[in-house]
Amino acid sequence: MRAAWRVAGTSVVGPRHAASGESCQDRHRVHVTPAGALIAVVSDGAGSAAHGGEGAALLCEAIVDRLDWFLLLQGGGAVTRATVAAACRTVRDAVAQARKRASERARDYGTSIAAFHATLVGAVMVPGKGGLFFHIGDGAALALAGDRWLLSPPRNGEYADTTYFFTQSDWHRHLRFALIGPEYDTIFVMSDGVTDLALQRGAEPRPFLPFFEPIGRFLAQSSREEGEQALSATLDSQAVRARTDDDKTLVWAQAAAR
Amino acid sequence: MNLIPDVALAENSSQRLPCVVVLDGSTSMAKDNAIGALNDGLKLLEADLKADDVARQRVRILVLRIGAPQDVEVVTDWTDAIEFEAPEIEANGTTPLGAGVRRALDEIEGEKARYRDHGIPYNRPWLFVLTDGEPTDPDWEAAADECRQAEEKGRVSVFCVGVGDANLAKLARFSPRQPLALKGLAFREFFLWLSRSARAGSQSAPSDSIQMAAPTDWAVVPGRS
Repeated sequence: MRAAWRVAGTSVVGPRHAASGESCQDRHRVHVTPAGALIAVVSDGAGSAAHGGEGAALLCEAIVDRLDWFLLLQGGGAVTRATVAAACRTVRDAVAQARKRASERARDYGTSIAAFHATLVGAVMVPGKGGLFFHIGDGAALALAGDRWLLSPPRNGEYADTTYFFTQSDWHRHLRFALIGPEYDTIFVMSDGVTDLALQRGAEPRPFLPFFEPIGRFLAQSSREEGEQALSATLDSQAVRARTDDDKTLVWAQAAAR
Repeated sequence: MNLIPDVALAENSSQRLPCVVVLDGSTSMAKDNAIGALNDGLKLLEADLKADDVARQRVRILVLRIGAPQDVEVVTDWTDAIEFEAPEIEANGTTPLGAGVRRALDEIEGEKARYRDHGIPYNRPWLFVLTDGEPTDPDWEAAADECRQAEEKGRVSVFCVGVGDANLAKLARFSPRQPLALKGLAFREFFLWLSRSARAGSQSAPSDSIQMAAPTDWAVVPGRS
């Protein structure tokens, strides 16, 4: 049996963190369930938080674990209103669980949950049946179907240097969902270091397709290892470094032709 | 290392960090040639900001002078750091600090509206107030309240700096942040710090805290020896 999805992803440390000897605060996970569903998640740990990267890792892990369970219990059934509602609940439960773990670690470290500030953006997709974007804060998720696209855009509030985190007490208000139609077969999920290069700003941000299309084409034709190496090199190229000094994460997934 | 071929990057205008500096141009600033030291410091601010690749694109500066003959004078209108030319501040007149701060808050809201109209993202604006005396305008207390509220509502970050015999208790009314006292006439160090802080603040890391260097080179925190 052919794999249901081809996937690739990378997190690249930004020149600013690299220069100060710090590590990348972005984390990502991409997981395909035995039944062929995709879970792709990216979390950007706040640069200002002492354990932002750890918060991001906790969050990615909780999301993948919970959604994996949910998809297993749900089997390969149809995507209905009821299953979508249940998937949203599962994401909320996963965030709540990650918050609980972050609070416990904060106690161990003698600090507060704010030290684990991280954003959340991701997608869960059943091939041919559709899926769901989930999102707190900045970064973005994009679904493509030929020329059609669907974007979960960044939210920053008024200022570009602030955003929303899963660690905030009002995280419920900032958690957004969007339905992905069954026709979409390609997913990109990215942190805010990539949105600067990949989205056109304006009243409503739009994906800049001359960024995404060559990447999708290349990854579809490469082995995962070769694809991820080239993706890392591209996100750390001179042209990109001149534009942004932030950490950068990009995850790609494409459903196999059925 | 192989790059993925033909990847084009979206052209977006750089985000901005608006920064207003309200400078005391009252007569008392001529004492010990404080005004000369201040003007040298401004030149240093210009040079230091221009030397930073990111800051010179992102930082936008407005310089207001308070004193006579006009209570509030725009000595440098909004300008990108890359085009900033240090103005020459004169020492003449009283210290209408309330009017200066009100004008600064108006200018900041106007500048934000222009960014929004053009889809330009921006960071929280900074307002620096520098004086060697105390407010002389009759309704300065109302202006100080407005300034403090603007900070509390997240519209601006306000930093007050006292020189020489500045009345720090009155200055403290303008911001929830404690005012700092300049060590002697350490304007050079102060403007270098301002430039470095603007450079750190002009970077785009998601952050709920202001990235500032510790002001130890130029400031004494009142109440600590």
